[in-house]
Amino acid sequence: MSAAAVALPSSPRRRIAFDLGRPFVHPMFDLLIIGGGLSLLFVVALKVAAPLALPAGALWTIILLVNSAHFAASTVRLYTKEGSFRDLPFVTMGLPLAALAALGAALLYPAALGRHVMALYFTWSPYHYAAQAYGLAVMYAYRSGSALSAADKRLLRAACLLPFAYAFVAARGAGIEWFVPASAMPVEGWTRARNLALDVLGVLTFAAPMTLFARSLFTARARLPLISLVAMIANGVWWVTLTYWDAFIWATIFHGLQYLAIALVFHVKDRQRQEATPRPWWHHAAAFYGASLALGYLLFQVWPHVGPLVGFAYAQTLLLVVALINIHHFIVDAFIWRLRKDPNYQVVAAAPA
Amino acid sequence: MDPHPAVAGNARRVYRLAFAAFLLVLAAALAGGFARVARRDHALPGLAQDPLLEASRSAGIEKDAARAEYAAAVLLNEGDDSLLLQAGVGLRGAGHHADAEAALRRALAIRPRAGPHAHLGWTLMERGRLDEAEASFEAALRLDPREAVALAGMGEVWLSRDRYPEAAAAFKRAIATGAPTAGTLNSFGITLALGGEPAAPASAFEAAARLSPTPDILANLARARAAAGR
Repeated sequence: MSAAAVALPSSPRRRIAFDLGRPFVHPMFDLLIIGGGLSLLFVVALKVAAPLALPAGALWTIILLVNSAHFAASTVRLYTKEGSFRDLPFVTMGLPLAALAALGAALLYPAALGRHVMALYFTWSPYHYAAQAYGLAVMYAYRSGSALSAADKRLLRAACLLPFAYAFVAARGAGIEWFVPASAMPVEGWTRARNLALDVLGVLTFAAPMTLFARSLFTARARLPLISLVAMIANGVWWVTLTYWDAFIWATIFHGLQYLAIALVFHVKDRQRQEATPRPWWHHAAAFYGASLALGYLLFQVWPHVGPLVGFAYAQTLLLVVALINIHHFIVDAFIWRLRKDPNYQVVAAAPA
Repeated sequence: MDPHPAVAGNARRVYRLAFAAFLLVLAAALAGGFARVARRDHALPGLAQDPLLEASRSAGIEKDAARAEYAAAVLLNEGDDSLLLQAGVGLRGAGHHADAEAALRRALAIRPRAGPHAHLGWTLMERGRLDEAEASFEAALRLDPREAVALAGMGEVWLSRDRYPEAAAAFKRAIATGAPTAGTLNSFGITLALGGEPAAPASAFEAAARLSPTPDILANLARARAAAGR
C-alpha cells in the first residue's frame, strides 16, 4: 500500500485516553492480521523456542497462498476497481508492456542490467513495506478520529522509514552495497561504521514509534491508536530482528497477509456499495482471493518455465520474473491506494463491518 | 492543462495496442510454460519458487546445464548467502570445483557460517588442497562443533593421513549427529578396517549399504564379512 493512501482530510477526534483503533472487521482481526500483531507473536516464538524448520512443501504452499496471491491482488484490484482504465491508462495498459520489455532486456543482459533489476527489487522492497506501515498507521489514526497535522505525518513517516534505512544499510548485494560495493571500502573502518549505523538505526526503529505513540497519548488532537503502533513495530521487528534474507521470506509473508486482508476489505466494500442489493461479503471476498490466487500461480509458477524454451536459464528467468512482478506491484500500489478524491476514502471513513 | 482530445485519443489507442500486445505475449508465455512442464513431467508446474530447481534436476544428468543454471542464479543474486551455499554444493556435485569454491567463498564473505566452511573444505579436499581443507573444517567446527559435514570431512583428512584413531573419532562424532551419509559410514568402516579392527567394520558397511548400495560399498561389506568370518 502506498504512502499516498494517507492523504485524508481531518475528521473529529474521539475523546479517549487510550485507543485500540476503530477496526474494519473486528478488533482482534485488525490488530493481529492487518496490524501485524500475529507476526510479533510468531517472531517471539521463533526467537524463544527454536528455529522454524518448515518442510519445503509447506513453505512453498504458504508462499503461494499468501505471497504470490498478495502480489497478484494489486493487479486484480487495479483491473476490478471502477474507472481504473479511464483514470490510469498508463498503469493499466502501458505499464505491463513496459515491464515485459524490461524483463526481456534484463534476460538478454543479465550482468549489465539483470543484476541491477534484482538490486532495485531488493532495495525497494523494505521501502515498500515501510510505506505500507505508514499508510496503515495513518489510516487507522484517521479512522479512529485523529487529526494529524502535516508535521505529525512527517514525523510518523520518518519513524516508519527507519526499518527501511536499517535494511538499506544491512542488505548484501543491494541497498548501500548496490551503490558502494563492500569490496571498494576499507574493510575494518567500513564494517565498524556500518555496524554502528545498524545499532543506532535498530534502536531508533523501535524507540521512534513508541515515543510518537507515547507523545500522542498526551496530544488529544492527534492520538495514535494501538493498531498504528503495532503496524510500525511489526515492520521494524521483521527487518531488525531477522537476518536480511529471513526477513525477506517472513516479512513478505506477514506483509502479504496484511495486504490481502486490507485489499479484501476495500474490494468487498466497493462492490457492496455498487450493488443495489449487496451480495454477502464472502461472495466478493472469495471471488477476489480466488482470482488473486489463480493469477499468482500463473505468474510465479508457470511463467518462469517459458525461459528455457527461448534459451534462458530457468534460474535467471524465475529470479527476474519475480523481481519484475514485485516492481510492478510497487508501482501499481502507489496509484491504487490513493484516497484523496477516491472511493477508497469512503471505505476508510465508514463504520466497521 | 488537459491534452487536446485528438492527442488523448491517440494516446489511448497506443495504450490499448500496448495492452493487447502484452496480453498476447503473456498468454503465449503461460501456454509455453504449461506445455514445457506437461511434456517433460506429465504434470502441472509445481509450487516451488526455487531458482535452483532446474539446476538440481540436471545436476546428475547434464552437468554443463546444471553449471549454467547455478551460474545464472549466482550472477543475479550475489547477496544471498543461502543461495550461494546451495549453488556451491550443487556446483561441487556437478564437478565444477573452481566455481563451487568461488560461490562458497562469496557466501562466507557475506556471513561466516559452519555450512559454507564445511562444504568449502570438501571442495578443497577434492581439489587436492588438504591443508586448506583441514583449516576450513576447523573453521566450521569452531562455529558449530556438531556440523556433520565438517566432522565427516575431518575424518577424511585424518584418514588420508593414515591417522586412524583420530579419523574414527571424527567419523563417530559425525555419525552421532543423527544423519550420517552412506559415504561417512563407508569411510568409517574403511578407517576401522585399516586401523586394525577387521571384525568391526561390517556393521558400518551394512548401514552404508542400506542407505546407498553402490558396488564399492557392497564390495567393502563382502570383504568385511569375509574378514569377520575368518
